[in-house]
Amino acid sequence: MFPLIILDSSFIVSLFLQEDENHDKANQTMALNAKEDMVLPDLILFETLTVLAGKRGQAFAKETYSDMMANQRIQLRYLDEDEKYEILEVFFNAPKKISFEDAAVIYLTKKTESAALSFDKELLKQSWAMRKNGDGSERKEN
Amino acid sequence: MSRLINVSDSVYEQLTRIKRAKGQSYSEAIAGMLQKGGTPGKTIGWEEILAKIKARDAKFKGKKEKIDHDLIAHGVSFDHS
Repeated sequence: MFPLIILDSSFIVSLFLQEDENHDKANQTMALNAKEDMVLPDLILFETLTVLAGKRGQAFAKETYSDMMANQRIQLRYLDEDEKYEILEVFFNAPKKISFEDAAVIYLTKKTESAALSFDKELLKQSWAMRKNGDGSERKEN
Repeated sequence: MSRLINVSDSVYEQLTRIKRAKGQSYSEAIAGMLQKGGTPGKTIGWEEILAKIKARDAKFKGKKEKIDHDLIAHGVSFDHS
């Protein structure tokens, strides 16, 4: 399959903040995937900028935003009305508590058969289960 | 002028994934893949950004910490400013 990556805020925040415990891991992972096409959902961009502004201030968030928007590998993805309703379904039917932003990443990974770059274990688990089973449920072993 | 073209099932599947992921039409997805010189305004790659991060890392003297990435953890829902 053609590789395609959906970016999650946990990963981007770790990448840009030196103090984050996953910073080195995020750097190594990004270096390995630097040539891949990446999709940045609008909700994830806004969440990321809010967290970065909270930790380092507006100027740092603005610089990070400019860098990401100038990056040829990143496609900013505006989710439309229908997609947001479908994401709500994922959100309300999630087997464990997740945020709406997490649900958006899970939804997009399923819709596009892509991988998520994230440090959120629950998001990755549900994304994987949904791609395998189609509905986010845990697969029962027989 | 648009014309119908024949592509294999696997190429069509991949194109559909890219189209869905980027929220584009088939025409836009194909045009994006064929475009030379990159999209206007998009002038850098991860290499440049990673180099910038590495330069910042060299100056970092602080401690590593666990950062919560959820908005609620940052008080977005209880903004009193």
